[in-house]
Amino acid sequence: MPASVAIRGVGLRLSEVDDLASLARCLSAAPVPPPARRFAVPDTVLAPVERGVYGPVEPRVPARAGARGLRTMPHESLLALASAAEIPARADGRAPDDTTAVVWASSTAGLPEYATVCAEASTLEPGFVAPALGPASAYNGPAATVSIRLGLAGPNLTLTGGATAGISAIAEAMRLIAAGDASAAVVGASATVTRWSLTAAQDHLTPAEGAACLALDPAGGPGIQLRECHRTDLVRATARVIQAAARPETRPDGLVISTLDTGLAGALASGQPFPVWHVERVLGDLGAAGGFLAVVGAAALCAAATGPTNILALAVEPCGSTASLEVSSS
Amino acid sequence: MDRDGVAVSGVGAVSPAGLGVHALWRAIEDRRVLTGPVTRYDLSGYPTQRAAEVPPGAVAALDSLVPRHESLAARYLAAATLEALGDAGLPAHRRRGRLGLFVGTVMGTRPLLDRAIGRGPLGVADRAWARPDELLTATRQVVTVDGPAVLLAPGCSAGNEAIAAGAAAVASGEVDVAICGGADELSLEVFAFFTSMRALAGDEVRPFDVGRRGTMPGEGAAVLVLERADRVAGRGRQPLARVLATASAADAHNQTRPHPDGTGLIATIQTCLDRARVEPDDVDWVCAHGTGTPANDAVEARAVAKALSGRRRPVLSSVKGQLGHAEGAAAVLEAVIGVRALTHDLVPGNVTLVDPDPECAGVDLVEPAGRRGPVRRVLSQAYGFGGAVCTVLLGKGTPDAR
Repeated sequence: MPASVAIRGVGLRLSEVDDLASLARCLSAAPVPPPARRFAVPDTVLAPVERGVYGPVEPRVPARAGARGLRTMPHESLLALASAAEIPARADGRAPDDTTAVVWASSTAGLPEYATVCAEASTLEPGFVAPALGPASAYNGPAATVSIRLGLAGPNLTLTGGATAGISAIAEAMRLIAAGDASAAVVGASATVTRWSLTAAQDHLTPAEGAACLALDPAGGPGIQLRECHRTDLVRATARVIQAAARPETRPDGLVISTLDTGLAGALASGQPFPVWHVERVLGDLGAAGGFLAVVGAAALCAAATGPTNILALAVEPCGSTASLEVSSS
Repeated sequence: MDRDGVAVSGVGAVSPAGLGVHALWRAIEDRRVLTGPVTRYDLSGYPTQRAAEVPPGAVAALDSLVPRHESLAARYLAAATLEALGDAGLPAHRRRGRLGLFVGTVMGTRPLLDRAIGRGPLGVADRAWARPDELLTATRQVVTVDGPAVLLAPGCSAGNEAIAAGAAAVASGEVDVAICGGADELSLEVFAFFTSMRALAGDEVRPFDVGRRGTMPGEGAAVLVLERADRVAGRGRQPLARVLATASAADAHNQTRPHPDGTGLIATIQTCLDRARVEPDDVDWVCAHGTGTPANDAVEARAVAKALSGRRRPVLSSVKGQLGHAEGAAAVLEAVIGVRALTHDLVPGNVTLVDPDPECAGVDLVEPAGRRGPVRRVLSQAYGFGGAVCTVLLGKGTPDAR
């Protein structure tokens, strides 16, 4: 893994958040009560539910991504594409032999499509499920869409799972840049809320939808840098945070944590000599995208600070897996 | 990054041949075609009803090997992991050194929802089908994971991406032991939409045959344990094989069709050769993606012929005629077969090939019987819907044999 990579651009499609400045403000503000939405899927045994959700988020796909075929594109792929296309193309325009990687993290991509094919297979004659839905029913719709629409022919990776997948996506992108597989990377994460995803939603958190994307370049020059990714278990990760906090020279200026466990977030925050922000408290449960937003949130806080800042992003999953990344500005 | 020093120290597999790598390799050597009528789902009414299933006896035998979990893929993965760690001579718990989990899948736990497909409105069982991380639950119960736990779902390149990510983590020192796996179970959802796409074969999967009609879903799990070669030698063991190079790219072309020129595939093959500093003629077997669909095989054969043009045509075969297409498990199953091919100096044949497609004349299609002879390097490629491509180059375990 390289010593560091630099953030070249940011694209956001989140409820109530438009840019890094509003993300930084949002992280420190009190959570906004979510509007209630009704979710139903006919032709299944799932009863309609009404639930407070952060969303829906309008994709608003920039013209750069092209307008054709957007109407039939899955909502999560649209959100992903919109956030990625928001970042201007490189000035040096290295296409078409560009080897920019696309690395995406999501817990929900393809889920409504998968479930819809199952519902159709239950009610229609064999061979009559919508053929276009099938290929979109795996996890890799967002990464594939971003690559195809923006002509990015570098490595194409999708990570899934919980919050650590969002930080691991950045770690894998850093690995691909360091190894020479990719000249640069477009890394993002997304989440959507559907009646299907609500079957597995946490009761104590607000389900949320949205997408976020970072364009990463090999490090060099000023700006916000990402470095030092650590992926380990909760005991070692906690020990690292305690050790780093103990000495002024290693102490971060803040910690942004993504976890479904509000108790853990509270425990990590108590008695720290620096502020701790909890992604899910204000942005809701975004699955794998929560870990990614811990990094984007740390970048937003660095951008909002007046001097050099060093913020740690940490994702913790219920199984005890963790991933952390240092975000700093010079 | 010193990828040259990344060794395969253990292998494990659950496949349509049953439990274990031995059963898998025996089936390859014996040229058994493991596709057949599906027993797990009621497919009456479907125009084709064949796939490659892990046999019911093997599924039942999992009860005594791994923890219970609704997801068969999760249990396949746990069983393959235990076998591979045992093969490597590594304990599952209380190890020295950090262990990471790198697992590729296409559908993960989603096929749990398929069981509710029947007559009338779709019932919805439990909720693990909507939680991707559940795929790793059974494995976490049998192995202590203190490094990364990464679930890769880039489409059908998943298994090779797991190997690539794990090899890089070993090479960089992030982990001492990488469990690189792939797992998927038979999905009625996949079967239904492949039926709609008319992509399924009715009798057999015939990769590179002029009469090929389509593919068939398969299932299973496979695991490679990767470590630094000196660490394996330090335990008094010989590496089974080495990961000489990996490379990834994308077609950036179309959601369901490969680029007609196979640009992503060609790029990854050339990068693998460059990284391993070998020539096209040094590749003794190309373990093809070879799905048996009309859309894939001719494009793949042309791309391989172009990327590996040397003094002889590249020697190529696909094991999907025997195993079907196990999606996220496919590439790791093929890597396990590649490791055995390196050990046994046998290139598996295109077992179901009857009449080679003239469009595939640029490659040397291995006859059904397979070929005995030195196998020093195996190139294995994987790609799929969405256009992601990942290629892995494996070499013999002992340096002097390379």
